[in-house]
Amino acid sequence: MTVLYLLIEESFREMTSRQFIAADCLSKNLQVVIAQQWWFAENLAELPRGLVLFKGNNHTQASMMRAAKDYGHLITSIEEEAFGVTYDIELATMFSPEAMETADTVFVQGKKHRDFLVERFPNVRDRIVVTGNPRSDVIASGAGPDSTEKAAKLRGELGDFVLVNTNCGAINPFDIDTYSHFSRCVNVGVLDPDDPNDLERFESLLAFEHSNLREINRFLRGFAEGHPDTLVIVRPHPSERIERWIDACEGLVSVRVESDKDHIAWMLAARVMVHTGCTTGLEGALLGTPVVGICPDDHVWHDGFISNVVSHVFKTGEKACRAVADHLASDLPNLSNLSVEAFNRLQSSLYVHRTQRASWRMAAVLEELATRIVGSAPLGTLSDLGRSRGRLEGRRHEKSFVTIRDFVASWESVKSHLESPLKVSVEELAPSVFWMKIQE
Amino acid sequence: MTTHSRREQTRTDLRDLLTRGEVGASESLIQETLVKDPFWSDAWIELVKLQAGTGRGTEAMATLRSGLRQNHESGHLWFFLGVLESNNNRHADGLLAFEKALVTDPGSAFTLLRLAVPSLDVKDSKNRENLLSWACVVDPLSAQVRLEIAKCALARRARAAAVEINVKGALVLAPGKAESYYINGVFQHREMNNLAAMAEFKKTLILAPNNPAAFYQLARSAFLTGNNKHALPAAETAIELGYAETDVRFLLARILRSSSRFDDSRHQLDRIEKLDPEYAVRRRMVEWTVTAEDFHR
Repeated sequence: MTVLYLLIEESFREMTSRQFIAADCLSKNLQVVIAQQWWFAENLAELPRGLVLFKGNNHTQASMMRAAKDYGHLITSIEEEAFGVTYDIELATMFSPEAMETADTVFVQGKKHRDFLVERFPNVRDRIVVTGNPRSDVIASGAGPDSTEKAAKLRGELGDFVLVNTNCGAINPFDIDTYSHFSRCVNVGVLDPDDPNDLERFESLLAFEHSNLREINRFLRGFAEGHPDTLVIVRPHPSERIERWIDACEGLVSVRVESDKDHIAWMLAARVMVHTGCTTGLEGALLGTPVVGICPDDHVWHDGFISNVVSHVFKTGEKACRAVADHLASDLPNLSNLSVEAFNRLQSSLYVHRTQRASWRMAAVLEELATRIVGSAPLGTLSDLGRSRGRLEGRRHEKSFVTIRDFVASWESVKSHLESPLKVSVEELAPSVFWMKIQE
Repeated sequence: MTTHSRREQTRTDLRDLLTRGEVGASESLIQETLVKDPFWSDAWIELVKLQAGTGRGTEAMATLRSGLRQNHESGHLWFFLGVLESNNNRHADGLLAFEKALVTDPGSAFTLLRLAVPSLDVKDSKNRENLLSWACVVDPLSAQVRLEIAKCALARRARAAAVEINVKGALVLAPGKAESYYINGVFQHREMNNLAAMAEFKKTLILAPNNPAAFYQLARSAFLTGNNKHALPAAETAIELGYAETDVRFLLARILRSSSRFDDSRHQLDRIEKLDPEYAVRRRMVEWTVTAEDFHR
């Protein structure tokens, strides 16, 4: 029985969607290991050959792909960093030539991504499959470990609130300054510091984030001053330094800064959501929450974010403030949920089928690829691998650690949503590495 | 008396003379021994060490070459020639001597290590790693070999396990070695475990209190965890101790800016740009970072 490795870097973003894929693949007789990607890289020499789904296509991912391929694995990928993006110049930093050369199949979420890849890498044309992204399956289900319940609990505790999701990870990074962020981009190969075009692109993004920060702050102060009885929850992006937001909001009594990673529950609970080009704007719209996007100044980046296609967009924080206030005050909300027109506009950027899951379409392709793997080692060897390799520490732990209890709870929630009859046992092979086996 | 027992007696006599500080008598004993037993390479080495140790480097080199003329196949003598040449900055000649030592005595871990150490300018990193792996097989208890392997693995951005196993090996084999903690700190920083990195650099400094690189690394790891209280004095000490000026002043500039000491930060950045105009891009990256004021515009 062929094993499918579903690799994860950020559990809050990727874990549940991998469980959707797992459900569809287990029913097709594939064995599934959902694993933090560092464990996979460390244990590569001992793992039974199988199929691998990488979560990205940058230079670092490409190195892992190459190594895995050398050990006989079949390579597939989906680009999680591009979930909310269609801007060509930004996409170019995500898809490395080596990854495109190495992958046996490249899953893309929509026609725009497909067209971008075909133009840039003509040889990859026959290996691209448009499936959508299973993160939209997760959102459509409202699923998470207990997102719907949690959302109800939040509404009960907090009443109506406005959610502000920020996205300033380049100018306000967790590791203190933009030079750190710049260094990380250089190290993973998404930025060439000797290329003036790359630098120009990078600095245009920094200017974009500064404009956004200015207007988000104007929104926050304007709203807090004008509507002190309405709670505003600020949720900085996990890659940001939250302390700066806590300091900035200190004098605003009705504003609270929140770091909970379960962003879906918060979006479900909010009366309205505000963002500046964040992917969560897209997710919020798909969840049915009214979404306001602020797009200040003239930045090319605005058109490259899918969230702005499905949001009610305003140029300034002040205008967004008035729109949100009117929405909350009115019996007939002024900001509608995702309209049919917006849904149709979305399709070329993110293919969402009303009845057929992205994970199901991926599983069909993976099932066919599995027939090409012949004579792999027995899966019993997975349990023999020591837990010491693939230990999670520091930043990796923050990004990807999930307890087996939370994993199983999330899995039960997914199964329940899918009404799946599968009987599956879960064995924890290492921190954030879960072997899912069909029980006879 | 057999050759073996004669040599053992000479060793004992030499030890006694050296213990009493009788350098002249020691040297005479060895020279007399070599007249009768010119193929005893250990005796040649003792004479070389005596001469080099008493400041007679040129004489030591001449003695060594004489010894090699008599004992062309002595890996030990070739190794010593390599050491002397390297110590006198004749690295290419040193390298040749070590290679010769390896041919005549392939089981010498010391030779392997000296061949592989970067200071000998072995540019071929794969060759260097092969030599180190070989050295590790020959001498699995050498902490220095393990550290050199870890450094090679870090330099080529190897997987974490490849670095970790060798760093941990060095720490176990030589827990009093400052470099082991230093390399572990560098590794932890690479893995973005900056709190753990800080701890390792602090341990390095306990063992090597005036190590400028350790102060720099400590400053950097502390800065990246938002701990400017530790970062600032560490960076300033690194400067005092003469660490690479542009690197440490750049770090200092970052620390100062994040402490809202903008003028002091700019002063450092201006200074660095004068030294190295290529720092202009890095400077811009630092100055793009948000400040408290940006949240109140």
